[in-house]
Amino acid sequence: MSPDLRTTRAQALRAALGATGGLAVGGLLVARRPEVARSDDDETDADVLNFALLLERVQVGFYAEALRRAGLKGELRHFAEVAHAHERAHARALVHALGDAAKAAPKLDFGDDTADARRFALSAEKLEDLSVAAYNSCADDLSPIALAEAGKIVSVEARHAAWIRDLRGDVPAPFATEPRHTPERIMATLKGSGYVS
Amino acid sequence: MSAEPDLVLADVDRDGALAETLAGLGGVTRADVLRGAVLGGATLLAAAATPAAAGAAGSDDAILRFALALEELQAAFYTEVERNRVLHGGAAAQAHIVGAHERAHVAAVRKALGRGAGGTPRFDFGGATEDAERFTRTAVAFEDLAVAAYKGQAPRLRSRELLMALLTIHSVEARHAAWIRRLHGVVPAPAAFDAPRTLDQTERVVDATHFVVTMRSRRRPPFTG
Repeated sequence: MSPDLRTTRAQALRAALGATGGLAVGGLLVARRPEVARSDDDETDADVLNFALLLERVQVGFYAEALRRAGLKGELRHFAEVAHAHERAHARALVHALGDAAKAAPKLDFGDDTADARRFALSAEKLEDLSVAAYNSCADDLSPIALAEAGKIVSVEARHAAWIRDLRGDVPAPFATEPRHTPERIMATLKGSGYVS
Repeated sequence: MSAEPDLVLADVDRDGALAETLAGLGGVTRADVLRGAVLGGATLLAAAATPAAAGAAGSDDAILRFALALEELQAAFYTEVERNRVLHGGAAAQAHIVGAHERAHVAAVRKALGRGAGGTPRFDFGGATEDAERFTRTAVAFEDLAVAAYKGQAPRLRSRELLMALLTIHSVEARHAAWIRRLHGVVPAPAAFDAPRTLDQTERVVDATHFVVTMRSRRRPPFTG
C-alpha cells in the first residue's frame, strides 16, 4: 500500500470519528513521535507516564479522603472503594514502570469537593472523564511497551467514568467516540481544579 | 453484586459461525490465526513489541476488518433488540444510545476501509434479542469482548493515526461494558487492569457463538496493499 493511500484512509477514519486536533500533540509533554521509534523512547515514555502517575495519585488521594469524610453510603461508597483500590494499583504499576524516573508525589488539596456525597460524586465524574481523555490523548507519544501498559488502565478509567455517571443519572457513554484534547488542555483542567498545587 | 457475570459469550453461541465470519469479513488469514496462536497467552506488551506483529503491508486493513466484524455484530444486535421492543426503562435507553454508537463505529470503520470493507453480514441471534434477560447477559459478554479485542489489536496498527482513532472507540466500548454490567447487576469495573485478547483468543471466544448466518458479499477488495 502506498503511504498516500494509507494516509487517506487514516484521515477518512479520523474525519468520520470526528477526531479533531488530537494529533496536534506537542509542547507540554513531547513532540509527536514519528512512526519509527526514536532513541529517546524512554525519555518520552517517562514524561507521559509521569503525567499519568500524577493523575492516578490525584485520584488515589481524592477517593481516600472522600471515603474518610464524605459520608458515602450504599453503591456510591462501593464505587469509591473499588475505584480507590484500582487507582492505587495503577499508581503502583506506574511507579514500578518508571523506576528511578518516577517523580515525587504531589501535594493535594481537594477543598470542599470531598465534603459530602453530592460534591464527591460530581467531582469524581469530572476526574474520571478527565483521566480517560488524558490517556487517550497522550497515547500517541508512547512506545509500544508503554502503550500496552496504558491500554490496560484506560478502559478501567472509562468503566469508572461510566459507573459514576450512571450513579449520578448522567449518560454513562455520552459520545460514540471519546473526545480527545491536547495535553495542554488536560493539564490546564487539572490545574484549574486546584487539587494539585 | 457478584464480581463476574454468570455467562460468557461461549455459553450463548451455538454453532461457531461467528468465527468463520470474523475470518472472512475480517480478512483474517490462517497466517494471522497462527501468529495469534504463537502469541497466545503472551501479553499485549509482548505482542505489540514483536517485530512479526508489526505486520506486513496491509495488516492495518486486516485489523480494521476485524474491528468492523465486531462492530457489525454489535450494531445488528442492538438494532434488532430495539426493533423487537423487548426492553423497557434503563435497558431500553441503554440499547438506544449504545446501538447508535455501534452503528456510528461501523460507518467510521467502513469509511476508513473504503471498497475493501466488503458486504454486510447477516446474523441470527437465536432468541437473544427476544428476551430482556438473555439480551442483557449477551450484551455484557459482547461489550467486555470488544474492549479486550480492541486492546489487543489497536497497538498492532502501523498507522499512528488509525491507532489514535481506534483508541477513541476502545474506551467508549469500556463505558458500554460498565453500563450494561451495572444494568445486569454485576460490578461495572471488575478488575484494576483490563486484559487484552489476541485475535486468536477473540476468535476462540466467538467461535462458541452461533450468531452469524451468511455473508452477503465476500468480494475481495480490488487491491490488498
